[in-house]
Amino acid sequence: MSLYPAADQELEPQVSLVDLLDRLLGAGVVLSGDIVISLAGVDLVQIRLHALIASVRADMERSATGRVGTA
Amino acid sequence: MSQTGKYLYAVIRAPARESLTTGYGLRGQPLELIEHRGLVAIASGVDLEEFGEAGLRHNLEDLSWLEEVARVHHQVVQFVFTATPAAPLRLATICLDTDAVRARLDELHDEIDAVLERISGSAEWGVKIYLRIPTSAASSVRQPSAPPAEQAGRAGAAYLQRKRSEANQRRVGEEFAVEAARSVHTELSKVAVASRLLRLQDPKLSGHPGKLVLNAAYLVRSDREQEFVTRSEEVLAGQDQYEVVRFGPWPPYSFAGLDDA
Repeated sequence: MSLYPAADQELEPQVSLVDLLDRLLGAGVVLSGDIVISLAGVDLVQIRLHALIASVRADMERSATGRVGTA
Repeated sequence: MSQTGKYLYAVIRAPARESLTTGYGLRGQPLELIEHRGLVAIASGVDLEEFGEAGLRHNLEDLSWLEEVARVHHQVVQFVFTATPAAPLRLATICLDTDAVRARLDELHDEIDAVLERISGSAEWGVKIYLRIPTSAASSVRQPSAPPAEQAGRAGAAYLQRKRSEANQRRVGEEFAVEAARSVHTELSKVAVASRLLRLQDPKLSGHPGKLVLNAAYLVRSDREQEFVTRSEEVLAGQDQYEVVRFGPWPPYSFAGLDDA
């Protein structure tokens, strides 16, 4: 299902997933949310996810609100 | 009914165009605009069963799930970015409710504002350069699969020497390519507001047979886009051993880091 057919077909034929993840995981404003991700085992993005996890954790530890999504 | 949270895609400056609410986010949920102190977060509701801590931990291991979420995230950010300067948020930024979103906007207000200032009027362009690896067919076509038994020693030595020579040529070619990539990067950076070298992707992930020698991102002002595109086409023109892949304009993902402000 694509809700943005124009973006899919005209602007970009098919962005490669690895190029996308390079940017979506490695960059962007880091406005950490309330969700803590503590484990992930996808080879493709393992390093990036570890970095993501580390930064989210650090943010959570910094945050005094203690509002964490629970399992 | 399980709990819902807010998945965040990007932050823009207020006032947000009403048309942004016509877009849809993950799982077909309508986009929401959460405003605070002159900033507006673009969000949509997500089920915390799927996007909560336990859900994410499980789902991030599923490559097809990750791909779908990444593509929708990108589509939404593109949609917002075509309307207004937008600071993209990293994949899977989730807050529990709108109050939590406002608290984050409050906390990071000045940094986000600085990011928006920097990226306003510019877009990200990606450039990758591959060194084509010559197909082994050309060099090995006359090569017997195994040296004849009679001359095994001499043929073996010749074979090893040829292999060494090929490897040496390849190494020289690659060193040359890395140099070429460096000078391309310098050239393109001159047309850009900012530039950034990204990690060289593992060929297993990119699926490209060539050797990646440049993976870079450039923040380019819209009035210099044409110049950038032209420059990127000229810079290695006629050098068939290289393949230049360019994409953009993209939202400025690589230039929205709060720590760069």
